[in-house]
Amino acid sequence: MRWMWVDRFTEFVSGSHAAGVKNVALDEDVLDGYCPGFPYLPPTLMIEGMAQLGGILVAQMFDWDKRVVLAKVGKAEFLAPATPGDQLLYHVKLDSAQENGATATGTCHCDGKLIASIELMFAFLEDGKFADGPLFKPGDLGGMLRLMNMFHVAVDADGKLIEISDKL
Amino acid sequence: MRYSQLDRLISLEPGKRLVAERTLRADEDYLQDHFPNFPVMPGVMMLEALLQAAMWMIHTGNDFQSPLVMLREAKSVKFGDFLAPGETLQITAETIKEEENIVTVKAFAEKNGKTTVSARLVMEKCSTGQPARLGTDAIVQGHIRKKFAELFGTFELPA
Amino acid sequence: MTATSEEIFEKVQAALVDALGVDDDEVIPSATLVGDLGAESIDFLDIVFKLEKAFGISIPREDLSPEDILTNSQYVQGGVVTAEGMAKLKSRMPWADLSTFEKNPRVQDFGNLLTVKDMCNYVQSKIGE
Repeated sequence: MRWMWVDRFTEFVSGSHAAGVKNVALDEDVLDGYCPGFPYLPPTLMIEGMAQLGGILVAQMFDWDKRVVLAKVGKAEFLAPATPGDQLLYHVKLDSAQENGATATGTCHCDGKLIASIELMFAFLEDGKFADGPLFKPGDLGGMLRLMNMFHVAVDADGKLIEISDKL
Repeated sequence: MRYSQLDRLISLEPGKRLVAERTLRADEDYLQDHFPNFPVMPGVMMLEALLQAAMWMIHTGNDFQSPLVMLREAKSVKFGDFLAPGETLQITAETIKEEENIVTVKAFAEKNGKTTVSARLVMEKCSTGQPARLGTDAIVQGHIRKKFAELFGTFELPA
Repeated sequence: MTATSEEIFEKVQAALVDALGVDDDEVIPSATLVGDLGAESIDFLDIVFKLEKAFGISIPREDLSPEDILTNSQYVQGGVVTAEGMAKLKSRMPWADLSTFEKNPRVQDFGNLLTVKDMCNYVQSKIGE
């Protein structure tokens, strides 16, 4: 099982917002036996999808120098379950960012209806605390982002496609 | 239940309080992505453990009469520490308030006495909402009791 | 912006209730953030974001966490803050009530210093800027 909970980036504006798509599939491991007779995507994995979009948005903004982790979910509301065949549209907007962390809000729509909304706070791991060095080996994160089509759509504030950083 | 986050139950007061354990195994394959240089349980997976603890606590509390026990709201979810392979979480879910079919739960997980995650969860006991003629609710209800026994079989529900 | 001390208190209270998941009536002026309200280090980051947003101010890390003073051997000896260190703390945090801490200034006790009232005074001082 890979830990990528967004299938594809559909939008990415540096320092502003990111959007992506998650398809819910009947053959996903996580659905197997999760709620027998009524499979649905665990809502915590919807949080993860939006956290991944937000975390990448924040990491890119700081030029991939920060070790970004999810620190808090202020509030997460779930209005309806995401079931096999659903295509979830995630949209995450950056609220604020400073030297130690960032906050963002995210929404999830399906068939034109809002089914979830969340408030996220990210922290940047301090040097020497918890782990030394980067969380990813060279090429790992870049490889995952390529699979998610990030570089197809990621632009800076002026609308110019962003360069694929060597740091990835 | 492939995504079950509870290895075993430690104690249970149906509808009131549930304590369970989850040990992170080094061979859980998503660890390769999270993170390659620092394999740790994803925060949301720890939250899922809290959520499942709350869910089973509520299900056992009303004798599995509700087809679904769904998360409506998660509040003040805080991640305090990481869980590394080989480490064990002790997960607690306690009912704080119950109003009709809405149950508010305080849930947290600890590692060696230190909290790694805590949250307030608002859960709803509800139907699948599928067309009545399909009888989905009854089918799901039938499965859930069996699923509990499969997962925690050796654990006896208090009389 | 101008704001009355009542308005400031209400907004600080709301930010703390939100960040710490406590009730309104627990957030009284004399309550300590760590001891009484259960704030952990991750919560301070959340509180900072909420206060910045509520008041349109900017809160640099060292304003609320004088780690640089507390880890400086010139200002701390044997786990106790020296007179010079106290003077430094007072000038860094003129809005905080350090009188109790000063009587027995052990570094390990510093974390539990800040009260709700201190936070209101801090916000007031930043709004003025």
